[in-house]
Amino acid sequence: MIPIADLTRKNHVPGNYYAPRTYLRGELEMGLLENRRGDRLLALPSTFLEGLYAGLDREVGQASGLVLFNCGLWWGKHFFKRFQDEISDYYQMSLTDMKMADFLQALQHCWSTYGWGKLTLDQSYQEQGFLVVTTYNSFFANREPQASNLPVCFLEAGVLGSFFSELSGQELHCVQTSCESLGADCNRFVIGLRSRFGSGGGAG
Amino acid sequence: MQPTIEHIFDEVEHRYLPPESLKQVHHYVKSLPERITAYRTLRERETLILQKVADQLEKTFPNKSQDDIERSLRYAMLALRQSAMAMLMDDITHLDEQFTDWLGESMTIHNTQEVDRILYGYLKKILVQAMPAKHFTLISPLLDHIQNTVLPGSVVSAPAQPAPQPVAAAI
Repeated sequence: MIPIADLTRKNHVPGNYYAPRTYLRGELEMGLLENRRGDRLLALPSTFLEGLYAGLDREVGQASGLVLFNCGLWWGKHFFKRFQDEISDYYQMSLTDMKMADFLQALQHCWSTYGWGKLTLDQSYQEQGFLVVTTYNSFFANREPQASNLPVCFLEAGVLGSFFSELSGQELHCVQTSCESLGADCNRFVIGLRSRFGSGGGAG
Repeated sequence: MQPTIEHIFDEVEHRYLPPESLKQVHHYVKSLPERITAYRTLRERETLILQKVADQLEKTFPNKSQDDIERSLRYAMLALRQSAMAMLMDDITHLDEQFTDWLGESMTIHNTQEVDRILYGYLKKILVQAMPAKHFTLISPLLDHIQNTVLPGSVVSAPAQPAPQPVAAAI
């Protein structure tokens, strides 16, 4: 016999932690935007990101990609920490005990609830030591003010590289191979050990 | 908040509510006591209702692992709670915004559909016995909506209302 009362922990049945209506909370009067745990969130208007890209381009020129990538690395490290805290707390288990499929599903819903677009993962290159992440309708790809013939999601690449480095406990690199800003149907990011990329693995 | 009432606030400075909108508000407010009663019933009888479902599933799927059946039961528990909230708010969009995408993905990831298809039939059969018909008709369309979305083609017509009997005896 399956005792139903045992299926809940203090009447809590874990569902979709990142369900938008529940996850995002704000008090307009106080100027506060918070998640469901009360951690503060910061809304980035597209104008801000466009200004950041343009300002960096003017200040440091071609190095702006490297600067954004490094900012992404820092951001991704903290993003992982918060994601880990939230998920471990909600599902009452550590990330290492969580099934990979459940972990990925939570990450996908987190990504879209944050307004960063849709994210999928392709693990078919795992034997070669690579993970391929694909994003659609990326917030980061559609804000580049100047036409370029190179992928532009440096910030996103940094976040992903850092996030999966924290997850795996190894220092991983991330290279973007297709970009919506160049007319591609999606943004593809290849993540793996830097040594495996050979000489073509520049920033982002 | 109930969508009809939510939209009223948008138009306050322009006009008084037209008769049709006022009628919708009246209809919702009038239905609220029944919605609250139905919600209370579900809240208080959730464990009993789902225990009955669990017992039937164990008989139907003797070769399934307990983990598999428990996972389907957790999904059903969430579906019932989300449906109860949508019923209380009279807002079916709540389900799609908050729940059905995630549930459909979860069922696919963990391959629980075989059990889930049978589970929803049992759940509705037990609900129809556990609550008055007027309350069942409030919750049933919401469960059907979830089922139609995550398990397309699996909804069968609602079970016939049985002869009246005490609720406690039925469950």
